[in-house]
Amino acid sequence: MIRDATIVMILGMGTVFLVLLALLGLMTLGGRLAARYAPPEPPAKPPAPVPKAPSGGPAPQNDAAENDSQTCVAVAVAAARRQGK
Amino acid sequence: MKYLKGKRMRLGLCLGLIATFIIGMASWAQTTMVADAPTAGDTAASVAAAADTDADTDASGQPAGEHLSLREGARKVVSTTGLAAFMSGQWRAAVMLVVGLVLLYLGVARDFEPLLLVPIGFGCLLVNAPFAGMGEDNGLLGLIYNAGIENDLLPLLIFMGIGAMSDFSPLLGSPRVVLLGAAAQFGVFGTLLGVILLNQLPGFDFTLKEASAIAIIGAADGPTSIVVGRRFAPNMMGSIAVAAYSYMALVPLIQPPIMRLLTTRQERLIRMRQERPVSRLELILFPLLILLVCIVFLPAAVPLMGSLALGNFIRECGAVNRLSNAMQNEIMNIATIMLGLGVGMQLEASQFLQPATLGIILIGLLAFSLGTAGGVIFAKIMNLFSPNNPINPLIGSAGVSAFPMAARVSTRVAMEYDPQNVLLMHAMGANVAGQIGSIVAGGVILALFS
Repeated sequence: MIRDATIVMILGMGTVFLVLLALLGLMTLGGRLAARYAPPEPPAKPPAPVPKAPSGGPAPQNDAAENDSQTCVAVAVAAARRQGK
Repeated sequence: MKYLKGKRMRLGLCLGLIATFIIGMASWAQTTMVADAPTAGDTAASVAAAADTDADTDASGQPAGEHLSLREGARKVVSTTGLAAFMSGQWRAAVMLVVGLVLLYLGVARDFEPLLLVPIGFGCLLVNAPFAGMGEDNGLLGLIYNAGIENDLLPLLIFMGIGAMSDFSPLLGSPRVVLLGAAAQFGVFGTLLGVILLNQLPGFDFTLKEASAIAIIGAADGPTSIVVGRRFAPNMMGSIAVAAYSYMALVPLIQPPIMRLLTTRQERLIRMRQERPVSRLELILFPLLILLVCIVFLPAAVPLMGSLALGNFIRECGAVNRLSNAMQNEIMNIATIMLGLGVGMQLEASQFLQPATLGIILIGLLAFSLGTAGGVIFAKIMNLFSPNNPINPLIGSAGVSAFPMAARVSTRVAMEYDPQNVLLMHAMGANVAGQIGSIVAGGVILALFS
């Protein structure tokens, strides 16, 4: 029975390595093809820094979008405070 | 204080009287039913049938009809209590109730794989309740087992859930770590040899099929252990599943000493290069790729791999997020409860309390150790061939399938020596490779012995 177990061990490890080596080859090939034809999207750029407000004055309002986001934040903070009460 | 003492005394007295009454009744029932006392393996149905037969005739041999004497009724009730069963040969069931409670303790208080040990422990309690018939074909656990485990449905549903929860991008970003998942399967096939060697000891006599079913514990993969165990060692399936899940929970204790033993300090400090970024197309195609490889090379593993691939494809394709969420949550949770109860049903006293169970538990430890060692040593061998881009051998231990515990252990051990060296993503790559490797190992055994 030890002989049988040894055969199963050799066959088993051999098959596992064969299958995973095939997978490794295909993954490597797929990675190269993907790099050529479907490259991963570059990570999103960090938001541009907000210019510092001149001393004593209010922060400059860049554009409408930033205004909107600030309004959203203000609304969220107000809602959170109301919930807290 | 005096009041409390008095209250405690009265409570103790009451409990003592109740216990004396029950024990007295049980003893009486036992002495009056020496000939037809229930034995281990008797079910509620058989006891009731025996009692019905007794009740059909009275002392004079006349049909009893609807008349039930106080003595007969009391005897019937008392003879079907758990206490009477424990005192008349079913003491093993009482031992198994303790085992069930220990499993619950490990799951709840010690946080050892609670998602599975809690339903398994409860299943153990239910199936060992005398005369309750929970494990019979029409009992709750019997129904669950026959409908969900006997046909592999629940393990496959679990694999779908695992696929839907797995992110293969660490593996795709560093494909060579897939070989660590292959090397760690030495835990399966090395253990197979160990089981056969265990046969040299008195009390152990495993066949090659049973040895393979036990050795699959080394894959550290619960559903695969259940599928293989049910096919080749159905009477040991409960012990195999409990050993697999228990050792998976003990990975943080089992693996670090082996990892330290097999690596030098210098090797533990190796910093690995960052993985390449992976495109969405690769992630979508990967489950189809592993399925095709499996179809081509090892069709016996297609049910397991196909379920994993289906779950992962649904996750990555992005077209059916509702299904992906259902697989990750509702389906996975329901399947886990059912699987746990079904496995718990296999912890029936006559099946579990055998010398073989002790052997399975010892061999399980060997299996996990060999799997860990196989991964670590193979990582060191790989470093001989790529000295410019070395692998930290500590991630080799994550090649066993215990996901994500093994990857966390690799990361934690590496950070003990260099807090800035975060290996988590590399270890996750080896860990998901281990999932694939364990399915392939299970498929090889299925192909060889089916």
